[in-house]
Amino acid sequence: MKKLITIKKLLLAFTFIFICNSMFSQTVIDNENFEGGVFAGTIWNDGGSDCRIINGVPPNSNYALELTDNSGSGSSAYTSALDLSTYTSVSVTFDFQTSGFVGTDDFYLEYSINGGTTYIKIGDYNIDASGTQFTDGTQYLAENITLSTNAGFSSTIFRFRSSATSGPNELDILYVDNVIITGYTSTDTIIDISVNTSSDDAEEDVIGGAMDLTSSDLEICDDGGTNQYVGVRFDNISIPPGSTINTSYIQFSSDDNDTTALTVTITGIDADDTPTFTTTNNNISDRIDGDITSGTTATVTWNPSSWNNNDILAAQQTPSLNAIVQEIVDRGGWSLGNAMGFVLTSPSTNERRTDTWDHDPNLAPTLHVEFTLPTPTPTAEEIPAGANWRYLDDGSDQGTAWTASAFDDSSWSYGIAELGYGDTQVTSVGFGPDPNNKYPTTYFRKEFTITDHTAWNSLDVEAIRDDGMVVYLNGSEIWRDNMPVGAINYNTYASSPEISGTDETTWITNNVTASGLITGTNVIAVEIHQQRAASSDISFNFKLTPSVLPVGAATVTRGPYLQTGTSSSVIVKWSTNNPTESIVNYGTSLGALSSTESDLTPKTKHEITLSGLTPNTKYYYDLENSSGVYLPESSDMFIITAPTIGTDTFVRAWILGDPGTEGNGTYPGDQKSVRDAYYAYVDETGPTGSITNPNQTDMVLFLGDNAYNSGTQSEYQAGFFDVYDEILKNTVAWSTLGNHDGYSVDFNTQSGPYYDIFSFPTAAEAGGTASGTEEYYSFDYANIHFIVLQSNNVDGGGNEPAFNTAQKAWLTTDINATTQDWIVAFFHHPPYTKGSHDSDNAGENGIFTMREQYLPILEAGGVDLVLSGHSHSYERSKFVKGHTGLSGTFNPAQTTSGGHTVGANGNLSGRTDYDDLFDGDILNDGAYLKTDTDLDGAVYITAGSSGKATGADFDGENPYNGPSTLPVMYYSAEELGSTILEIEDDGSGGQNMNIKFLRETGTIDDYFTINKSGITLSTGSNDLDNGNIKVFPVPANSLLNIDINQGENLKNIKIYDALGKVVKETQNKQINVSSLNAGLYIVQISTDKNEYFKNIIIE
Amino acid sequence: MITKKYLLLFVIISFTSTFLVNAHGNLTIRINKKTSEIKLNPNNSKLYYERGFLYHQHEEYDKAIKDYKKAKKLGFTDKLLYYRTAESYYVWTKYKLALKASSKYLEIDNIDVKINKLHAQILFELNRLDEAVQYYTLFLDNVVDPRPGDFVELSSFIIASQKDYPKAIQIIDKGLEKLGENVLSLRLKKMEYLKSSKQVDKVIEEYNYFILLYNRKEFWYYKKAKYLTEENRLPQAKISLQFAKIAVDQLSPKFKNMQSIKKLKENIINLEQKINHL
Repeated sequence: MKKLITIKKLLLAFTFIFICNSMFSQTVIDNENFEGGVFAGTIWNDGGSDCRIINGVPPNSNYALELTDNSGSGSSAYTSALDLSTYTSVSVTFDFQTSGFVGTDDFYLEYSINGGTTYIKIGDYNIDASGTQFTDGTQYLAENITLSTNAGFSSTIFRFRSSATSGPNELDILYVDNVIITGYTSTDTIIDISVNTSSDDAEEDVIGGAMDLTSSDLEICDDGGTNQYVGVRFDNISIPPGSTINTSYIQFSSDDNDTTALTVTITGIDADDTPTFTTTNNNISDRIDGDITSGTTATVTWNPSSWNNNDILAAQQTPSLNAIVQEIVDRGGWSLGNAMGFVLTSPSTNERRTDTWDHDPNLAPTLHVEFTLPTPTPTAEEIPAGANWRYLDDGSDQGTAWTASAFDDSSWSYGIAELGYGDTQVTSVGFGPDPNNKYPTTYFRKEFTITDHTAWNSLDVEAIRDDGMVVYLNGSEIWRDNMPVGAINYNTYASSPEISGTDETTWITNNVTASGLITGTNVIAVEIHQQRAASSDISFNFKLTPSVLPVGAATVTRGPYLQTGTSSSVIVKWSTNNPTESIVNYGTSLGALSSTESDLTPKTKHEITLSGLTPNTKYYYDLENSSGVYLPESSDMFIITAPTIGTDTFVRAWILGDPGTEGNGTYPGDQKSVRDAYYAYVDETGPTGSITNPNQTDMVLFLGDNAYNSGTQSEYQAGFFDVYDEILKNTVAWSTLGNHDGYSVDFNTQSGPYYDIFSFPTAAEAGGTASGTEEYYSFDYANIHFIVLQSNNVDGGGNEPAFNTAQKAWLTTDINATTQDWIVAFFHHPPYTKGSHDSDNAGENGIFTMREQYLPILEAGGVDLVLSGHSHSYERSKFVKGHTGLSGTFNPAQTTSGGHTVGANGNLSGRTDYDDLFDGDILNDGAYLKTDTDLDGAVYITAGSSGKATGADFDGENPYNGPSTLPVMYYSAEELGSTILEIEDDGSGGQNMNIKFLRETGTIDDYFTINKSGITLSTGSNDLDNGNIKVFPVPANSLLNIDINQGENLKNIKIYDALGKVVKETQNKQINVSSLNAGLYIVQISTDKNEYFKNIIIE
Repeated sequence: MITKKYLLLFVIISFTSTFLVNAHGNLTIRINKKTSEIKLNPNNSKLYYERGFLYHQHEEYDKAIKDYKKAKKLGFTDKLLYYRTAESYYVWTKYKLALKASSKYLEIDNIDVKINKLHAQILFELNRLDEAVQYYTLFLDNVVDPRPGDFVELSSFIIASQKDYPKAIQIIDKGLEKLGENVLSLRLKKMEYLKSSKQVDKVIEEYNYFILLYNRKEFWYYKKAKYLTEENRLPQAKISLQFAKIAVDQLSPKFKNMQSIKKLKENIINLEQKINHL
């Protein structure tokens, strides 16, 4: 039974058609009379032992094909595979005659589109009453069977097969001759609409009017002596008004063997959009007798022939319903997508039993219509699915003009959506002459009218697109899907992967701004792009409905969060569920958000830069759209601008390495426990107790791998935004890119979630040197210079990548240009680790390069602290310099002795005081020191345990906490936690940089201090008197005097500006400099014996 | 009996093997995981493709290519297969094979932005310089968010193929226009081209640009002086060197004592002596 249903389903898809009233062109594909006497040279093949070509036999007394008895494929002859994909139908005409066929003997014409694996019967010739009846021994000429075809018929095999059961001493023979296969190409549009719900095929008892909507069969029109009306309704009919109906019928599926004579009258329901049937008595008859609606003037009489059970063949088709269908379509209220219904009546007590939707949706009645489309006209106030679109399928380059509303598309073809090829589209479009090199782009246009465009602020759009799509409204792009970013042209292919499976039939949805809509006629232009030249299919259908986003419709789905904070500006980013305007109101006190920045272009991903802010000032903010505030101000939604660059003040940074395990749900709870420990730490009411400046976090530094496993948008949502939302809305976040973040980005095009989510400075917006890329950058905060490097792409398999060269050059310039007191660098791959990665392992991408090539630059430039992640542990170095080799090369002796540690206590803990948390087991042996004259030394921290603590192998113990077996390290722990950086005044004109490793338990398991003296700058003096020559006064503002030793004679004086340009030249010892701009100058004094250079300041 | 010599060799081999097994940490785990999946689904072409890319990231290009070939044999048809194949061959320095793969990709999709870059890089290695310029230009004309290095690379192709410094500088200027006038790598490259094309005055303008841009000017004054010396413009070099000395003098002590500044001071003295002896 299962097999039968499958075959029936296929038959529904490839229904027979009658060719009448339609416009066709025809091509004879093959004409074979077998007079060659052999199969060779024909398209026909010998099926086996009961098949041959023989001379002097019926039906024409010459050569013919002979099939005997029934030995399966052995009693068949079949064609080679034929490409019928370019035809809308194909007919097979043949002569035949049988000999010895009796009883239930029959033969078939069948086809296969899967290489002969399965065959589908399209001609069923029977000696008895079932199927197409014939008489044994009679000559039949020019039998004709027609099959509707499409792109799926690119490899079609026909075969004749005898199914005659031979008895003892009996020979059953079928002769076939003059087989002509003809292909037809119709300009008609063909639709097949099946009953699609239980209540769309129904029965009504003529006496009493009782309704039955759920029967498993329709008895036409008598059910065991009960005469009944049968109603069938078809919905979503894609026939636009003005169409001319050329062919139409209803195809039933037989549910019984029925042979008795019967006359049925078919009447259309004369309604614009007849509703589904109900259980109200007389609900079918009332639709044609005037009680609800009337019947159509046109009626059709049907005298069905005998039929066998389980067939969907010509016998189960009604006669042409053209007159009825045309009458309904011509109604004034008919429109595209409406429903039409038919009522079948008969006074006879005989019946024909057919299947219903309730029996099996695949076997439900189907309305087949072929019609000539009218020229497309604008639809009103919307574009419904299945509309009549103009299209251009000639592979041409249309540039951009075709998207404009004024473009003349009258020469384009038109057809009903779904348009495409290779699938079950309503309108087949072309793909060019070469199936292996199909045109990349097909163009579509549709006009629609809008009465008042001001009534709408958005457009609900839906589409079926296979593979990629770009949509334009009146010439402006409003939607792009599955296409690359950037410029698109007629040779652009869709993005990977190719659309397939259910995605080919799934409506994708979007809501876009209605800002481009106009009152009057609008045009939607769509370009559909193939994914590759040999792809089998494209599809396109589209809906557009204007809409109004209600007040407050936008809700925040991500953020807000803060980026690139400076002393005068900050970027606020967030996402909303619907496209809407971006408006940020802000002010220095709640209830008084008097300033506004906005971008009124509706979007879902918002980015607003607030500028002109006062340094070190708290601003509250809210989010608004044109309908009002949808994320109101609150005490925890604020921005604190950075202090003026260079200010020495208290600063706290929260540092998270490899935190994003919630992104893929691994290590549940670990990431949040680390977070909560920090929240408790800074909370003045929390368990940590009193700390300096509670509730202050000036920045969050992310060391990469922010969302596992691949840094996708959804992983970032779960592992980043959903976890840190509380702090991200009031604290600026900075990040470097980890290897897991790198899995979902394209470095070549700087695209992907990481680039989309973050907005980092590229042009030195926050201080430092412009890098031109968000991959590496620097920023200044207070008196700290932060350097952010990208350690993923520094290796090149033997050749140094250009990226690495550029990043190093940038770093050299950047670090040598800063005037900040502290320098902190961070990047993902740690120079030193024995955690889940091993810095002695040459196969570790990034680690060696960063250590060998970047550390010398950083250390020469005075870096104080280097932070990394990658290993899921906390490992903290001693106070070191110059250790760029493997761990075995580390020498703990001080640098003055040729070693790698710096200062008297560089090999020790770096702790300034005794810590109660450590029970006295670790010595407090003093901070690491940096003075004006001794600037060497930095601490390296691998801090990648903010989401999981795994994989470390410090000494074989697990877990292991304490002095590290990696010589450069002072402390290592395979424990969850985050790192805290705090810079505070040391009370002696310097500052302390305090670093703490805060466990998820709330304890501080490691800490140390770097003390730096001389933070308060001393003013240098200019000694311009070297005994031989004196320049005064300095600074000068009017007259500058030069005194020269008596033993020398002045020859010449030149004054140069900062760019080396001569701005004054004289032989006088007194120079008027009042015309010079304020600034630094050099005075070159030439005497007969010497040359002197003096720098002066002009005020 | 195992001699000490062989024992040592065994230890070395074991140590090396451990390195290889643990190389790239997470990548190794991912490759192993993918291998397990392949064992369960040996005919799944996509799995081979995915493992191939992991091998590529692991810098095991031979294995990557082997997996890509297997994926293709099993029916994997996505065009990205050709991109990945070309990418692996390219990094593996098998440029002719890389070109074959990238060309195949271009047959399917010649507009895709990044294939044009890779194709250009391959052509460059094969010394087909004009074509390399052509494809790289196509890439740069269409990429939405270019990196500074992209402009540098195209300009270097132009120099290699045509020695056309004005055109190369034009590309760099285009980058500066798009990414910001202060982007360091582009300005440095522009200066390099100006130097190579002997546009001395424009080189000086570039040095002056940096001098004006940065608060700390000592390195730039020194570099300018060094360049002027090389160009035999000694009076100007002397002045610039004086400014370098002044800039160093004006640094606060903590900067003056940095290694980089100590080295700079040495360089200044050396250059001054050199100038005095010229």
